[in-house]
Amino acid sequence: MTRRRRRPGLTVPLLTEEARAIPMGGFEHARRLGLPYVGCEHWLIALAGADHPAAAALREHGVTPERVEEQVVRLSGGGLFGDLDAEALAAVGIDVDAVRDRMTETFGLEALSRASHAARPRPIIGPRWDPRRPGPGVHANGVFLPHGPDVGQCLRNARAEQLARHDAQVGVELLALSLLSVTKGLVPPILAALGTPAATLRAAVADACRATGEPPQR
Amino acid sequence: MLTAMETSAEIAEAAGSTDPEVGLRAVAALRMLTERLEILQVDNARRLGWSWQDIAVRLGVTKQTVHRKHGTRAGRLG
Repeated sequence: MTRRRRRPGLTVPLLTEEARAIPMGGFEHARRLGLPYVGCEHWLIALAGADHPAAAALREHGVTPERVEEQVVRLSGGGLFGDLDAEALAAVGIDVDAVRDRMTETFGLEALSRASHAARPRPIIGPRWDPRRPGPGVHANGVFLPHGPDVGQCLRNARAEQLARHDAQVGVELLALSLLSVTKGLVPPILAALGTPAATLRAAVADACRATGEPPQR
Repeated sequence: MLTAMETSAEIAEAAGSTDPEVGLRAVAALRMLTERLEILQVDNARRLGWSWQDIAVRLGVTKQTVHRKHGTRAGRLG
């Protein structure tokens, strides 16, 4: 009898040590926000706060960790109330933000995130992805968070670019460029909300890394 | 959810909007808000060891209704 082998994790051998800090940071952000998965939007929070020319280029264009996190919370975190019609509720005297703040304070983000799951049997970030049947993900500190569908896309982008460049590993620059190229998940709507097109950011990241002369990862 | 709907409609009416567009959107949003809050509160009550009967009485519905709606999820919490 043959057993199907688990596909080896793409993340670890692929990334340089510096770049690896980004998925790990993303995991911590997702956990801190009480979200049931890790997506590229959480990596983006970690990336925007990193000490690297690529991250500095993002911050120059207004993609700061605080602003990204604000959008993540608006789009998915505190997600229990994120999709409510705030304008209509304001018309009858209910301030959704005040309700969210109060509930977060009382029950904690984790309870809100659990309830958000229950309220929406299908996650808002993708029609076919089911967090109850996770594929790849991150296991750390006794917590398992599955990867969102955009993480695979990001890693495949990085892999393709790495092979094209004949680099031995993926560094922060390549990871940033791949992250900014994903079409799934929350990164595109977050960048749209921040008013910075992905193409502009990719050019800025490439320029910044070229200017500082980051050596290729050979 | 009947009680919640009545309350929602009352609030919308109290706001005095005669424009159905505004009023109906408000009612729909209030209903969604109520459902989300209900999930949070039921989970919390189950975690604190409340019985389905106690929860149902407070929500003004039958025990079966609340169990059917939240049983598979909140049952694991209790």
